[in-house]
Amino acid sequence: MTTATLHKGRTIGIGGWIGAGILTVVVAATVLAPWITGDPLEQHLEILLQAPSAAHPFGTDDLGRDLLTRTIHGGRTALTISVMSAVLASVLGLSLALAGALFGGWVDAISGRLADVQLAVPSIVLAIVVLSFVGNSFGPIVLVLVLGSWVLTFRVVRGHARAVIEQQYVEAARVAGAGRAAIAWRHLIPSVLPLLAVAFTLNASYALLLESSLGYLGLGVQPPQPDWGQMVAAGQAQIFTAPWIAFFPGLAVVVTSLGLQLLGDGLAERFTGGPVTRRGTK
Amino acid sequence: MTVVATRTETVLDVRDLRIGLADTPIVHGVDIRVPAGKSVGLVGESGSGKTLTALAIAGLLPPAITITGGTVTLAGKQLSAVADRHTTEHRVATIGVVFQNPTPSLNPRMRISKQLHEALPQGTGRREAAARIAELLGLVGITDIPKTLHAFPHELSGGLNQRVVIAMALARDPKLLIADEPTTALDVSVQAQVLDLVDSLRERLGLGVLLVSHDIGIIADRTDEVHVMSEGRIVESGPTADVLRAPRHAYTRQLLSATPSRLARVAPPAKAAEAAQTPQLTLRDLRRSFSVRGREGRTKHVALDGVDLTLHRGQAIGLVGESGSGKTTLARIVVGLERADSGEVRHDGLELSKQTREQRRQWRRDVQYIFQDPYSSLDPRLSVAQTLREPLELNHRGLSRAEVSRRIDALLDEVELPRDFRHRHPSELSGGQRQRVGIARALASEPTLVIADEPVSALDLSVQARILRLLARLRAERDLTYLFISHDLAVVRYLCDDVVVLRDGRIVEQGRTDDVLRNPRDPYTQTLVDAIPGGSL
Repeated sequence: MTTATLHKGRTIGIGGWIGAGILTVVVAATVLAPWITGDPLEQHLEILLQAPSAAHPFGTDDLGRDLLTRTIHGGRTALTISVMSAVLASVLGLSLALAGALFGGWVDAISGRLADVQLAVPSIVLAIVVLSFVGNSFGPIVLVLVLGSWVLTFRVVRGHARAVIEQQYVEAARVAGAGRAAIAWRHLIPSVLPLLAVAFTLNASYALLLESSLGYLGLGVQPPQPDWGQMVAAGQAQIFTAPWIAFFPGLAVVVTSLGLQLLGDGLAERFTGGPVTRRGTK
Repeated sequence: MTVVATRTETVLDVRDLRIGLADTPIVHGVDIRVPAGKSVGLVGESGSGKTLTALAIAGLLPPAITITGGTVTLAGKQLSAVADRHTTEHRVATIGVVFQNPTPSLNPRMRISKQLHEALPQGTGRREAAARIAELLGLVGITDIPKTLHAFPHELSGGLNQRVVIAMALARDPKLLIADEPTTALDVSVQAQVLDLVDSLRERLGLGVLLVSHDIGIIADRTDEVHVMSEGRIVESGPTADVLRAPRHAYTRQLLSATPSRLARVAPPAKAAEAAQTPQLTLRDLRRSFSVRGREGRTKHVALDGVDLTLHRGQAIGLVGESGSGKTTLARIVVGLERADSGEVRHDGLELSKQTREQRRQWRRDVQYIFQDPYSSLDPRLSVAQTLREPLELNHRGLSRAEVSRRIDALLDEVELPRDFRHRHPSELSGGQRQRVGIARALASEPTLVIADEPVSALDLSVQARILRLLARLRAERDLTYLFISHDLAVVRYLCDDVVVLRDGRIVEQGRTDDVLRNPRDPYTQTLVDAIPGGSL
């Protein structure tokens, strides 16, 4: 009985489908933003701080900008940065984990220690330090997000890859003439792909939260370019008089991150039969 | 037979026992009678229902599988099909069970003394228990009782663990001992000891023994009566000697003809004799040791202690020894999966560590390996075609797609698998079919030397026989040189011209297979030869 037959019939579950649905809506809206909404920077000084209404479903801010438009456009920044960091984090985590499993010895030791160091340093502190030195443009922000989230992929993939590399069929491949690259390509990567998909969604969710925190702290994308975290921070001054300014971008962060988490849990259930973060070296 | 029945007490009487999984019947009406002091064998291949029958008697069926009909009478009391408290108590008091693999049937985190204590009837006093435990261990032939009691299962050998399991089975003075493949996981010489022990206990304690095994040799040596089981039915039963001397059912004949000692030997290929002058593989003073973490810190385990061996082109050498003798380590070094600490390995006259890149590539193609376990040696994600494509693509670069596909077909033909198996995944193949795929993968590189590490020990006897015939045929057709590792001398006798006996990393005896088996010079070889089951066949 192999894992393939055991897991046959398992789906990503209701939660997973809800997550996928949320993400589809969010991604579609942000991608189509230029066509379905107006200019996020357009000011209408005659309609300052209006509460949500039929004309402006999310209300307007203190410069008379439409918040629905700004929230959707804010998602473009937040999601681009998060997804990009999650992709890079997955690639970095995967490469280091495979290198560790394939070469063993000091390669494995060093990558493992790197991960330990990363876990010991709070990523928000690391982000503040890095960004206050190099300035907060797109590149550095992605860099700190990658630094903050590659460890998850690394640990999940390494545990699995180390188990696979011990399998007899990997030895059989060596006898058949496969070098390390061929083993990684033919046997390791296909077997870690499901885990990688799970780790990717969790990474993206983590990166989104971190990116929003940075925006909130003023270390993210700079105004007037809209960004969810930064919009929450801007709305904070009027939280009692015009709560919608902070509420809707905040809600967008929560909903998107929830969608990613739900999808991640669903994928984990589908592929591994349990939360991915709880899987050890087995 | 009827005379015996009236004189001795019947411990177990099974009538028309039927077992099913939901609506699918698996065992269709089985009758077994075990008299006290006698040993009854249940023989068949995997999937024949013999283990389920044994489990049903012991009340250990998995939840989804139920008894759908028939009666089980244990020591005069009929058991109800549904396990109520009364039935369970009666079973616990009457049956002792010994499973196939001793180490997993013991709790790894508990000392032996505690596990034995647990097996005693409830309410046994401390002092009484200690005395009884010592008695039980003495009974199963364990000499160093204090040390064994203090040990954890992983600190004991498989044979010792199996003795402990038997002691646990005896703890409640059972009348019936069910032994399900009790020695399949053990070395041959240990096998013989454990079976001797079961025999002597049967005589001393008047136990009825139900011995379940796929190995007709063991059944022949150890049982008074035998039931041959196939596809959920008993196809033939009677006194063991009669059944095996003159089997009436075709299936019994098939089982008998598959025993390695009965396989007709093929004459070694004629070319082998003339080519035998060229050495293909030379091992000189090969040494390898591993450091093992144990209770007394790190200790050194010597796997190979200076081995010299020459393999000539076309020769088939059997490498024989028990687990821990270093035979697998030797094979892994030869094939490059492991490095020796010192000594040299020469292939075609070239030392392994001094090869150029091109020579190394050639060596990689020339020397191939067949793994023991057909289940873990195939990537579960890859189809048969993908598995076979790997060596073709890696070792013969520049083959066109069509050519690769043609060669995959040819390989499947060669190992006698249907061509449309190329789309199957390992989970859709039986053990024997997987091993054929493993052999085809080894052949894909066009090797001249094939190292096979116990290639048939995980398979049923009849499948074993077919794979052995395949290996013999391939040797003749492809002029292969074999280094064949096995713990089973009968298998080696079938396939190999020469044999090398390895013990504790040293070669203790080598020579022509027939000579060595007929009059072994080393006492260790003698014990191995004596331990071959099926001597009474």
